[in-house]
Amino acid sequence: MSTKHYDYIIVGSGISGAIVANELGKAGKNVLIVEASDEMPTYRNEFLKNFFNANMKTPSSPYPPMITENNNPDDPSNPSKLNTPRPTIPGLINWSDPSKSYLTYDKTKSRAFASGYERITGGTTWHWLGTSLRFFESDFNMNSLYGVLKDWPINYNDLTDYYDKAEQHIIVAGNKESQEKYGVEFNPDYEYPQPAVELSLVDEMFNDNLGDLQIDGKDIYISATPQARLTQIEQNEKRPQCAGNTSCIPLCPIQAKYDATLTLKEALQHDNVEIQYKSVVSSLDVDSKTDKICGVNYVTYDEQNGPKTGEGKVTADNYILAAHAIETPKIMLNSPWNGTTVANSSNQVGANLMDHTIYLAWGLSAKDKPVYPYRGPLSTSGIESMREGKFRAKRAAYRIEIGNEGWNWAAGDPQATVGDFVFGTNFTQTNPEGKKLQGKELVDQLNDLYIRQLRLGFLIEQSPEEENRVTLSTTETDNLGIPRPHIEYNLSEYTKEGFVSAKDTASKIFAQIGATEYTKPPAAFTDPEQNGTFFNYKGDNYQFYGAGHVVGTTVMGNDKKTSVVNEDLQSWDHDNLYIIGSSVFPTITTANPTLTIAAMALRLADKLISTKTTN
Amino acid sequence: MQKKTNLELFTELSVEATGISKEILAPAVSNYDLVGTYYNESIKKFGDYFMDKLLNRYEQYGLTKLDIEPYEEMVQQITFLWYMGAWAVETSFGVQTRTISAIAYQKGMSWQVMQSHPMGYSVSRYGYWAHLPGDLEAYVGN
Repeated sequence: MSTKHYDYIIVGSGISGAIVANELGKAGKNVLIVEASDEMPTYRNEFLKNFFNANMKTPSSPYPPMITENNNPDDPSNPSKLNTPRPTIPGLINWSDPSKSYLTYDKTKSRAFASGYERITGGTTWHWLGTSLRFFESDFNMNSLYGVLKDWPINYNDLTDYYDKAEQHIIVAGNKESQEKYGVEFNPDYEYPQPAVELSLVDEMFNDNLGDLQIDGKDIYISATPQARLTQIEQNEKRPQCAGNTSCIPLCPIQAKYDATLTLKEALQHDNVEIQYKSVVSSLDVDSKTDKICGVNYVTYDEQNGPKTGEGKVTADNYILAAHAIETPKIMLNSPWNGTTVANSSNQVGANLMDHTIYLAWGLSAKDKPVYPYRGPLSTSGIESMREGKFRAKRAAYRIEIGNEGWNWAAGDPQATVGDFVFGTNFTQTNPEGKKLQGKELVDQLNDLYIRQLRLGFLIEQSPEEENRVTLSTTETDNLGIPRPHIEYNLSEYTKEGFVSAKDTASKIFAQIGATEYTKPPAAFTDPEQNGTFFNYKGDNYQFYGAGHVVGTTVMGNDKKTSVVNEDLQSWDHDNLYIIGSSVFPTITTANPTLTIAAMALRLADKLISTKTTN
Repeated sequence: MQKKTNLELFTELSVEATGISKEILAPAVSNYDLVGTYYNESIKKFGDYFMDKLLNRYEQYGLTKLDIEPYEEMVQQITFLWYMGAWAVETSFGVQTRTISAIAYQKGMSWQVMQSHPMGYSVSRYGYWAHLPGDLEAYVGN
């Protein structure tokens, strides 16, 4: 435990914290990272084995804490007995039971928040997909352009150079021309560090059959998604070439996909960058005379379900919160200041919680057009044209991710289809006659279905709503006594209209390519009291899924009355406090957030290095 | 003729029920004795008495006379076990799995019938996904 006074303390070692630490380290600053979790295991095979052994294979399956009787990650442990609990899929299924769900709710007021995240060294980049799209210019100016949502205090041009740097740093494989077609502007002569990923047979089938389909005046065509996985062998051999293990989520077994442990490793090679593990930050202290942050309070533990082993405070000239869009406001809301809480004169800390709410659609390709899914990265292409258009004035836009994983996410395959044809059930809707098959008949039937499975994921731009909020639970704590996040979360009409459009678009796409659609909200999810991710809108039932894109909660803005940080990510209330990560995004936009998180972290680091350190 | 052992009968039943050839299901040389593991797991699950009855009946009549309880469900469970490396637990919202081991997951025959590889473990090289897989026979035998 450190008694040293640092230039910077960074809370969290995910992609934001690791990048800023690395840049500050290079600039000779003394940096301490405070991390809630333990050091990473030497071999990622330990995590991989957890995934293989898991009964319910979810994004969190490989990762600690997995404290259950039989060390079974599917069994939702009681979050009040864990030192670093986090939201998981088993917790989501039991969303209204605080002994199972880390996030707490008043279910009469809220739907469930469908995404999880990790509280481990390297953060949630362990199980991100790797999608590295830039935002569109319009994403930053939605209010000015369409009179809805919010404008950002910065524009695409403010990030262009940092997008370049971020893509070089995390090594993105992409094709500039395909992005330019959507209106993305690159610096002159800029090229992605690696060529775009090979399209899958699934992608090619869409490519060959979408024809001249137009929806809402937009051409519907696919393009290779820029992604942070190596498509060529890298010279410095930090990472291998992608081998298509088809498990980017939850874990790339060979680290061909970027994760923040790579940057963290680099950061820790600087003698002036230190990390303190197993230290869960509980609150920040404020100097009442200067209103500056004057310390980070933390609690330590040895075992995940063991007692607290100590507590302490570390100090620095400047503080950077990079703990994730739910954990960062949790820490702030647990830090009293001036009749309110830290950095919260706007009452916006915790507000505007967003996610890409996902509409899933699935089907089978035509008999003569098998696509051989379950091969390659989980997704290699998408349809980006529906991200922008005049329709954004009335409804949420979306991008469409094309899945290479068959019905794995959509219907729980491969076991669902095997189960149906072995036991004679019809959960997948592909066995209406209730056939019970054996032998060659079984092989042929399964093969015929598996090799034609298609999945579309619509990442719908959820609108920022002040009522969608992280607060602190008044009754539930973790094992260290730190209050857990309490969530209020609902989908606006604007967002729901995005679902209506997504449903229609999916059906049109499947019809165009000659596929048979099988999308259907599962029957057991028809009771909204039972299932937190169900809603009925305009007579149709919908299931929404989480994208893991947790955004909002400490938004940046031009007005201290309506935002938590300014355009330099500096707290309006405490000039030595900075916040980094997707919590500062004023809107969730139409693209996956991680590349922009990385770009914003690099931008903050540049600002901090170029301006005189506050002290 | 020497009487077949229960393990041999279990292997034959497994091959016939799954439709996967013996060379793929229970290769003569393997680091992982899955057939032995699954045989023992089946005894644990169903008990010696019912396993004996199942295999005796199978020896006499083949799969055709196993379509009555409790044999039908035993055969179904064993088939599912081979496909998923896990026991099936039926629920109101679909089948759930109880995985035997990390190896069992990776050796699940569902990956074979889809002409692919287990999610999380591939021995192919970059870009293989842009090309057609080998014929189904190469994955399931014939």
